[in-house]
Amino acid sequence: MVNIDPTLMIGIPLFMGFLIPSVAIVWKNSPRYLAGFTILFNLIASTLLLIRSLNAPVISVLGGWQPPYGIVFVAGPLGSMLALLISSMTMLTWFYLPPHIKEGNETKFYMLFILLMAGATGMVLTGDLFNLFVFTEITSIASFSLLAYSRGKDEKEAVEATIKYMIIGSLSSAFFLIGIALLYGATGTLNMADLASKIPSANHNLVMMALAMIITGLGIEAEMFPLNGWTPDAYTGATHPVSVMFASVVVKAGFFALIRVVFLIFGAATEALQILMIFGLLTLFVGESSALRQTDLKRMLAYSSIGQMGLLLVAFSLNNQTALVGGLYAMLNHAIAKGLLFMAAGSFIFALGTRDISALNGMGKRMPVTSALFTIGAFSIMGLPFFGGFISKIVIIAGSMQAGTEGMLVAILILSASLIELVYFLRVVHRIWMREPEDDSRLKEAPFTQMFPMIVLAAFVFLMGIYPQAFFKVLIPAAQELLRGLGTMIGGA
Amino acid sequence: MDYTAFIRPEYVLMLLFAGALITYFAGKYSSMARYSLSLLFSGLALLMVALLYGKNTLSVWTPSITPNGISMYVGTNPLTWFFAIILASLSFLTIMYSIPIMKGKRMENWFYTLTLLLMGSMLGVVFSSDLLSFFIFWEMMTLSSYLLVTLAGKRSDKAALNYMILSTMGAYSMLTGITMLYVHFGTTEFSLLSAQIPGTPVNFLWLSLGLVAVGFLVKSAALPFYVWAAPAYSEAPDGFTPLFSGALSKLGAYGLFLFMYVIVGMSALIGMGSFRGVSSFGYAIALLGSITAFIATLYAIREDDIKRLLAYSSVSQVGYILMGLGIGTSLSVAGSLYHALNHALFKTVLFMGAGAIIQLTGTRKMSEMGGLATRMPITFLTMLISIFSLAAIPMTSGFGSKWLIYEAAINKGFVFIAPLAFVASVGSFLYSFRLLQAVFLGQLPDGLKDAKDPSLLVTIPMIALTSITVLFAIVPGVPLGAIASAESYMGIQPIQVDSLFYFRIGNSFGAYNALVVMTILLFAMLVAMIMFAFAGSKSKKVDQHDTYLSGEIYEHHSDLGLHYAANFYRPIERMFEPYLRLRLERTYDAFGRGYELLSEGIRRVYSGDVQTYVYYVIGFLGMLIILAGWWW
Repeated sequence: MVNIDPTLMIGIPLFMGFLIPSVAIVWKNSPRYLAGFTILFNLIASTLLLIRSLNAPVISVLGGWQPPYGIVFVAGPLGSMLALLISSMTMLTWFYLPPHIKEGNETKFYMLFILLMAGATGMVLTGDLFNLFVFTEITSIASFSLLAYSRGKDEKEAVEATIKYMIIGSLSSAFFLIGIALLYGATGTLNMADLASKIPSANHNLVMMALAMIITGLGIEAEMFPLNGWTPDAYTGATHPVSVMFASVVVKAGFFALIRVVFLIFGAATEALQILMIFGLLTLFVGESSALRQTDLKRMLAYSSIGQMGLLLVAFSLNNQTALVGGLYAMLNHAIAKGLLFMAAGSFIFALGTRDISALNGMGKRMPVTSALFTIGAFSIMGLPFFGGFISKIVIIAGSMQAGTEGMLVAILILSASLIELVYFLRVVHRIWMREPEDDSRLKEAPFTQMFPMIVLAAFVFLMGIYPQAFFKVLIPAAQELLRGLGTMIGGA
Repeated sequence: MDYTAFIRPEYVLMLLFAGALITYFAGKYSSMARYSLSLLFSGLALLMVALLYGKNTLSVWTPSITPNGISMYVGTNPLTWFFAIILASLSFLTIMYSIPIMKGKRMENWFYTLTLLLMGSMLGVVFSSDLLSFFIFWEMMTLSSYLLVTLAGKRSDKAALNYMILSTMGAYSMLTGITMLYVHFGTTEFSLLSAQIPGTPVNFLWLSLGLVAVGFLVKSAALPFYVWAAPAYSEAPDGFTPLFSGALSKLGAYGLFLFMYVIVGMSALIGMGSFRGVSSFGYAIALLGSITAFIATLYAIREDDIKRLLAYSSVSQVGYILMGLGIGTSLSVAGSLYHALNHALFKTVLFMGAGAIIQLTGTRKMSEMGGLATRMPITFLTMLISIFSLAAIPMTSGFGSKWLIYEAAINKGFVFIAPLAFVASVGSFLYSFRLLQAVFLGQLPDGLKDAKDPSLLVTIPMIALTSITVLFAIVPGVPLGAIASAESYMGIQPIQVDSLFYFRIGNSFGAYNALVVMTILLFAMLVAMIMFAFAGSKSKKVDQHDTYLSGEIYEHHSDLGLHYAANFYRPIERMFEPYLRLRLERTYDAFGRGYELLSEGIRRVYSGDVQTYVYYVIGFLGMLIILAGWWW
């Protein structure tokens, strides 16, 4: 089997990012294809990587400098699974892009688009804390610029959202960096595995201070309450494919970075897990409750994303294998289903010209295919049987039950939040299919290139609901990787 | 080829789910294909279910969907079969009935698809033999019934949403309970679970069983959760209501039977605490059931809307079923199962008849109907017998089942439950009499002069179900035989059925010989008819308004609501008025509105102002740092 070095999954997109503007001078239509090929490369590379990493973690050393001094890439089942998720979501979004990009600006857009992918892939693969910071920055800067990139009348809104996101985002990087500096001061190393082994003997106060800083910094990226003020505006202001990227790629990478730091470096520090649990529950409730009264479709989906991220935080901070598998399943399901929902919502809004939920009356008759796809995504998020969300919900509940009485309380809270979610999604789905439209003219469905990614995602939502064993094959080793920590992975290197 | 190999529950389910899909696509192109296919699939499924009689199977139906590979089972046993045959036959007959009733209605194609899907998931609920399959089918059933309710259009929006929210609340409570059981015992298969139950801590059983029971009480529309029932039953499309009320409402009772007697088992249930030899858990269920029966009857009495009246009546009759179920003696469980069967028979006929009348008259208000008995003789007769059965008048099988439940309650000396049940029974006579009077007797409104019986597709199911009601009244041994084997499956002493002469139900308290009672009653009726025939010649026909207008001209008072069905039970209503004003719906509504207001407030957290967000971030960090230095 061909082995592709994980470094290339960062290197090639970065290189292409610089190549795209130069080629665009001579060949105007090239950016789209060059970006497509880059993403395809990453997709293939991450698939191969996932297959390899299921046997043993793939470690790649940069420039011959051995760790802990050099930078390493470490791809366990979890990291490679996320890399695959990132590249495939990027690929599908690439299909979805064309009508949503302002004409004449393709070059910059595609450049930033693959930089975003490169940054996110780096975030999940790197084995070095400072490197993680660098990739987080790449991802953030690419997201800021993509967010500002909006067409038509939403432009003003997008710029406003960008400024908010940038202000909060710079706080995020500042705190994250301070945290890294404190850790470096306390242990003298930045390699994650090395850190994990040195932290127990380091100055406790310093380490805890660093942990507080890092949780704050990465919590912003992971949409943790109360750090997620940027989220609703960003999702709403962004052009639709960028909202998809936020929900399925950027936030997932940020969340994974947070989990990695807490689980792998700090060895699942109980104090941190308690904080994550409490704020996870808060995030869940605040997100779902805020979504309940929304009249703006994208904003509703944004708040629902916040709620789901809260669910993920809760599932991970339960810290047992069942809950972790459930959490990872929910993460996959959310990336896929919410991506689908944002795409379908984007098609609705593109056709209707408004984000108002009440405009969706009778869309089942006006845009049947898109409506069906939206419904599939919504059913999965609601956790109905035969959709991915159902499996993640029952596995998380089973996991929380293993945590004794508190676990039971957690289960009840999760299910109550899930009930709120059911209510607002059901209202929208009900509107789409059951209400009579004011104007029942047939609207033009999205072209096949845009329909294709949605159909693929819908198929995956189904597959996750009816044949979850296929996913558990990857998720169970991934969960075990998290529980085991870094010690056994890199042999203390 | 040996066809018996295909008579297995998993094939019934496959047939129905595939059938739903095929019907959807075929029905898009031809309505004839839609009708014949849905009849074919449901009929075939009914046949297969009928052939399952007396079988005991258990098999894995699907590859596992859990991370640790727990298998999922379906199977059949006497208890399952008893419910399955009710559900399957009602589904088949309702589909037949719907063909003329739902013709040309909104989303007609979806109606048949969803009804087949609902039939499949209801049978799935009863056939499933492990917790996970049970929950999956349960959710599917809720979803498909919700969708069926919404088919009625905008009018049913609120009712459907409330039904879905309450059902999901119940389902989540159930999910919490069943995951508790799974995590504690490490298995989901029912027989393996029940083998491990002895010796389980009592608190654990109370909690898990209580959580699970909430789901079933919601579905049976028992006391604190009944608010969804009347609107959902009445706003649902006319073609779906018979199935909804006749079949679906029994599944809550089935679930309780399953979890209380099959999984936990009688001895463990008694071990959880008992009251006069009845388990405390069961007593609580019985109490809820009796109060539900009583309250719902009061609501039914004051309804003018025919479907709402029947809906409240359903709630109250399911209360009886819960009552018998909770008491848990041989007699009461038999009565409960028998009443489940009877209610399925008569309530389906009543809703079918109501649907036919509504289609004819275009109104649901009883005060706008009247005198239809001569115009719609078949509808009248079938509904008359069903109403007798509902009011537990002897000569119908409804008498037998209520009699068993009363007797069980009196036997145990339950001074609270038994009287409530009696009062509720009188009430059910009152409202069913009103239904009869208002719809079929009295003056025929001018608009309904040329009313006639609905088509055969409507009357055949009604006649079929009514003849079963009459037949079972004479030979109660037939259904009780099946009930006795279901009882022994549940580990309850089976009721004594004289198997040679299917006419006698005997027990310590006394015996009921259906044949003797029927003969006496028939004779008494004959005497009454002869007397009436002689007296009838002296009677004088007057306009009904003359009785209270004393000959004044009707037109002057036509706006006063002078129809004899208006304010029919005014004195009773007046008596209970202050209590009826305390409606539980308001509490739920207030809670819902309160939460929406709260969430409106929570939403304000996202002020849209970036300075605020920065304060949040700094505040969060400050809090973490304080915690880090002080607490960790």
